[in-house]
Order: sequence, then structure tokens, then C-alpha cells
Amino acid sequence: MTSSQMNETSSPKRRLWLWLIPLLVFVGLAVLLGSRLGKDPAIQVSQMVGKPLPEFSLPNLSDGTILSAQNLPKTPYLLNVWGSWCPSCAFEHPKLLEIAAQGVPIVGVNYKDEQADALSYLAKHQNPFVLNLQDQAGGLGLDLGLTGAPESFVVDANGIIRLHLVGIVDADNWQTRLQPCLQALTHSGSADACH
Amino acid sequence: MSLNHWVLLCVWLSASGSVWAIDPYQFNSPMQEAQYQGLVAELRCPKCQNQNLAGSNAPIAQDLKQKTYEMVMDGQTDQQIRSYMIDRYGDFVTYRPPVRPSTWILWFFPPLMLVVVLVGWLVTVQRRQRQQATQQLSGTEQQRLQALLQSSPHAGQSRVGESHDA
Repeated sequence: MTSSQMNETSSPKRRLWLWLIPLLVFVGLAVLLGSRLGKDPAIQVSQMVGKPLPEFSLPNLSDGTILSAQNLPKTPYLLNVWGSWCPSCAFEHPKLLEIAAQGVPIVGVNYKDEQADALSYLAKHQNPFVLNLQDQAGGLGLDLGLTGAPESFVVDANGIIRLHLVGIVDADNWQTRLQPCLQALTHSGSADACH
Repeated sequence: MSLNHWVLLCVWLSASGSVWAIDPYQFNSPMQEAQYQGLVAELRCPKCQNQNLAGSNAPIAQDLKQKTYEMVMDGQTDQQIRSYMIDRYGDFVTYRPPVRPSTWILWFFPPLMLVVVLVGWLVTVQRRQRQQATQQLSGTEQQRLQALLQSSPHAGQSRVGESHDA
């Protein structure tokens, strides 16, 4: 065998790399893709957490008086965006009633709704809200980085948003996310439990 | 599928494409309209995550289109409108993410990969050329090769014969 023939058949080291590289690429991809299996593909990066509630000047749903940030609770509270047109909101409504009954203040943002529809919805399903902001044009919704309704926020005593929940409030996320966050904020003012 | 079908399909596709693009907005100048069209094509709908604003009819996408329109009419720049959206919805909301350390891999990995592959290819080609240059046969080697080539047909026949016997 001449030296050039040696080069053609490749050294053992080179042949090792020839199948080691594709193998490593495959394993890397398998780990990367496998780690996302069964998880929610929707990306939710809330920009609002850690920021103060956006400024607003909106009518109170019940009497039309103009409300601003100073009319909101001075203790940690739940802000819930809803509309009478929104089926998922009706679905989560019993949970909101239950939470309100536990003494948690819930501020409603009545989002892109008609006043008459919203009031008859509350009369029919009962009212868990301490007050409702009427955001008919959806401006507060945009400033909150809303993607739809329902969405909920935990706001602390200083008016800073600590948690942003996209979708309905249910027994599971109430127990694992919302309640621990609200309790920690109420007792120690710490937002460490909010995630 | 006949040619006629293909033509129909193309017409239908282009027609449905323009349906998406038409919004009931009036602009003062073609420049404003172009700015608006560029932005709604570049911005992503936060709800329906694989569509841009132009292609989405989700309520939130309509709101964001309305907002984009208002800001364009207000004379704001692309950059101002983009940062308004990013403030509220994050880098995610644009199909053209800003260049910053967390997005470096996105912007620089593909060109870097291209450079690596090109350099690797050039090195391989050069090495192969150098090898071929050293593989030129000497005068006596050339004569031996000719001799071998002339005797080979006979050798080949006998080998075929053997395999038939087996």
C-alpha cells in the first residue's frame, strides 16, 4: 500500500469523527426537542411583571364615575380582565366568586363590552368584583399587554404588577400560583412566591 | 392536475392573498401606507402565534393594527411604533428582533456557520489539489501502468470464467 492509498482510506481517527459528529448532532437535537415534548408550545413572555399598573382614567362600570389608580385597593389584589361576550370568562366565574368569598379583593376590567350587557351578566352570574373599570375601547388592555380575555394580574400594595396569568383562573393555578403570591405579598410584601 | 387547474389555483391564491392585505384605513400619502403595511407584516399577533398582524383577524390583532394605524397617522417612526409594541408584548411581538446579547445567536450564528463551512471547503479543496500534485507518476511508473493496462483485459476474462464455474 502506498502513502496516497493510506490517505484515501482515512486514518481511524478521522473515520471516528465521521460518525461521531452526526451522532452528537443527533443526540443534541433529540435532547433539545425532547425537552419540549408535551409542553405548551405558546410562548408567554409577560412584559408587565415588575412594572407599575399602567395609568388610566376609565369610567366605573356601575355608575360611570371616572376612576384612576388612586381608587384601587391599597392592599394586594387580583385584577381580572373579562367581558360578557367571552365564554371562558363565564367558565372561570364560579372560581372568582369563590376567591372573592375568601376575602381577596378582585378588581374587574370590563374589556370591550357594552355596559348593559356587562351589568346583566353580573346580575345573572353574581358579582365577585369590588369594582369594575369599563375599558370599552381596549386601551388599558393594550397597555397591560393583553392577548385576549380572560387574563388576570396580581398587583401588590404599591401598585406593582407581580404576576400575569393568561387564560382562566382554575383550582390548579389558584393553588400553585395566585394564592401563594397573594399570601406572600399580604404577609411579608415579598414577591418571591410570584412566578 | 391540468394547466387550467393550475392557473385557477394561482388566481385563487393571489386573490385570497390580497384579501388579507386590504384594511379599511385611509392614508394621507402612499409613504404612510407603505410604512403601515411594512409594520403589520413585521409585527406578530400575540394571540395566534404564527401569524403576523396583517394575516390575523384575532381581536387583539385588529386592535394592534388600529393602534399601528393611529401611530402612523400621528407621524411616529417605525422605531417608535416597534418599541411601543415591544414594551407591551416583548421581543416576541416582532419578526425582526432587536440585536442584543440575548439575540446574538439568532443574528450571527447562520453567517458564522456559512463562514466555517466555506473555510472548511476551501481548506479541503486546497489539500486535495496538493495531494494530486504529488501523485504525478514518474516516467518509469507510467510505462509500467501502460503495460498493466494492456495485459488487464485477458486477466479480467479469466476471472469472469472462474466465477461462472463456481
